[in-house]
Amino acid sequence: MGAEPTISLRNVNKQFGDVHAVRDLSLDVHRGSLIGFLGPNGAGKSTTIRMVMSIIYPDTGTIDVLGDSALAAKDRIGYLPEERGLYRKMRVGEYLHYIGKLKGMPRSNAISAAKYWLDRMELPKVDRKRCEELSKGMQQKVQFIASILHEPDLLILDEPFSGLDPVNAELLNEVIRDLNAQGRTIIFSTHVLHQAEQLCDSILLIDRGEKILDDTMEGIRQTFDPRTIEVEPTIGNELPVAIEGVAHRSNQGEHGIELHLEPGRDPQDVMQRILASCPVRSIRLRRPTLDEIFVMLVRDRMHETHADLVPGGIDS
Amino acid sequence: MMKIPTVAWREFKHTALTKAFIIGSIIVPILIIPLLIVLPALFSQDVEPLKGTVVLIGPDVLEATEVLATGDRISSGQEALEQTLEQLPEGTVDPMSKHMASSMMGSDTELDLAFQRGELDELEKLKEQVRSHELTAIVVLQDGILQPSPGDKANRFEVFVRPGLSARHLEIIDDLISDAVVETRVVATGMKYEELRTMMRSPRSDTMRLQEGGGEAVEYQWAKRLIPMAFMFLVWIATFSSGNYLLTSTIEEKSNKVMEVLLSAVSPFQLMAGKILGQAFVSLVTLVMYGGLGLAALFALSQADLVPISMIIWLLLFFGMAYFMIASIMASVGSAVSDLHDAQSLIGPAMMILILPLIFYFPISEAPNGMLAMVTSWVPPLIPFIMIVRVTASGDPVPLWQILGTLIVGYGAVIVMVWFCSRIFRVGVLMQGKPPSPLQMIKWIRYK
Repeated sequence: MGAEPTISLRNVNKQFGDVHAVRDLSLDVHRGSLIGFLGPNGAGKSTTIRMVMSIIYPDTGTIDVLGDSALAAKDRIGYLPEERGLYRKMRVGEYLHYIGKLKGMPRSNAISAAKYWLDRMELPKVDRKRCEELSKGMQQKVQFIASILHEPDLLILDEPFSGLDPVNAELLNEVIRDLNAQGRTIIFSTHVLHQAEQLCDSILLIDRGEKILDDTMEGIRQTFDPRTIEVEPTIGNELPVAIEGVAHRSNQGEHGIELHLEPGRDPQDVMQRILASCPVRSIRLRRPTLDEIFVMLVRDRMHETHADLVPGGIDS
Repeated sequence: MMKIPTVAWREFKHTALTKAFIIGSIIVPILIIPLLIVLPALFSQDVEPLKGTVVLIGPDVLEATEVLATGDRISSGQEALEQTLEQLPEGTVDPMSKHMASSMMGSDTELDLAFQRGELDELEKLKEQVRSHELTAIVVLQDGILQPSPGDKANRFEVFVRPGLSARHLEIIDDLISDAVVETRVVATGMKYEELRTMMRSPRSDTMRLQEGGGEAVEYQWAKRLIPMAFMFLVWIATFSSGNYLLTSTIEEKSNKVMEVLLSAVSPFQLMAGKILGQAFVSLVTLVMYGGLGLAALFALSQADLVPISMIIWLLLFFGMAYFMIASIMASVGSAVSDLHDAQSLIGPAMMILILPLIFYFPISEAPNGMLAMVTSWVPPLIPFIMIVRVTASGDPVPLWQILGTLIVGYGAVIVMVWFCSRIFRVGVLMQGKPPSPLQMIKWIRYK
């Protein structure tokens, strides 16, 4: 991860009429990172991305992209928007050459790059087909190719996996990792949080136009302490006695019964009580998922109340 | 900067180099020419001869019947047509178009009619004969119709025709009877009908318009009417058709959701400019094609001097002005909606610009330097359409300062309109859902 940020936003504000889409947003995306850009619907993700793409401009604040203004860096950015499509009557090859040329590629380079990527994305012999003749998944892959054809330094992918079957999703996953390994910065926006958790090395979460989380995955795991114990009893599916410190239990999960701790309880203390009360096949302290962290943070802001996960460690 | 030409080329290619455009805009007009040659022959072949017997009933139809039986009648409609054709300058109308026009009027209809007298008390019996196709028609003349000054009531006749008689044949019978009645009246006063008819032919004028700077120019009345109409429609069709292409292609990019992909590579202004330029070339193809056909026709008729080179320069300049005004409106409307249905309510301003010149055409072509023409020539959206009529219609030339002044004002307005519409386009292309009101679109202009 390089020291110079690929994207740098400083006190960016954007308002549409009475709606304050982005509020005083400052953030840095470091070169070579693969960052998950998350947020609930209407959080301001698309507005922020559009400002980075210089499709729209901030009311106040500054945006630097790849060491330049957002507009000047446009040809060095690849963008796969969530609302995406193709010219239905255009042939696949012609479409890719067109987008390549718009991104500043010489025609010959666009042709050879399109050929390479169509092969790499397992779309051989489709360049003469009209876009409307392709299946939804194939169209999705063509759209992805259009975003990476010009070898961008920064790649912004908004829901890149939607519409793909597991095989193609895995192929895309592999390509994204390869591109990141080549040193390209990738911003990955999605609502499927477990994909972000698997793919990204850091997470940026915004809500109502404000940044509420900006950390590496490791940092997030350290910050959000585990508050759930998974127990698999040796006999039966239930613990024989009530365990002190457990607020409530939920149905049998993948790894046994899920016990959610009372606020302030030491998980190690509760685990020892469980082991003392009955024989168990397995017991583990489960990390919070990104879904849980997301829900907790967003819900906190909505209701200004705490859920059962408390950031910042165990109260003692 | 190569992005605008790239967008423009795609726009041109996917509009003008498509089967639909080639068939609709190129092949159809080309097919019309041979059709114009073939159709008259087909028409003349299709005209059935008018044969049979017509019975005249009336108190004093003897003279009229004789006139009809002996005269080589020419219908009044055909006479009017012949007069019109003869008034055109020598060589203006080729023999083929004369042939076509006269055949449309029915002069080629073969007549083989016999006329006989009948009595009013036989009318019902005669009607039965008409129904059974034994007779072609019965004509009942009113009392006093052959008097030199018949009253309104007397100046009428009834015609009963057989079932299935064509409207054209009925018209011929009407004309024959009317003409025979008039001739009978004239002859009754002692005058010679043929002489009177010759005397009644309106004289033809050869008008020369004196130029202010000296010299004189031939004034072609027919050209004064036809050329401005042709020029205005040329600009109108080229502008309107490309404006429509621009509207639909912008809506298509929005509804296909390809817009945001494009905006990741080009700015909204570059996209709009490229699209407008691309469609400008499509529009130019239409203009050159139809205009070229018109010019070729004038060359063929040795009338090319009716369209001097200055007129073509004004045409191109005012066409450019009209196109950019309409195109910028169409692009901004296309950007704001997601389907054609929603666009209908928003293209009112563009349609108004296109409709008003049609309303003003006749008064302005009649008085190209009149008050209405002078005033509307300075109203920016109307400038190109009004001025093209004025510079082509006027035998009395439009002052050069007015032409240059309206060009400056018009192109100034184009810059303002393109700027306003690009502001709307920039916001509109990213909008989804309910179409905006015109007021909301105006608010978008102020968005940063």
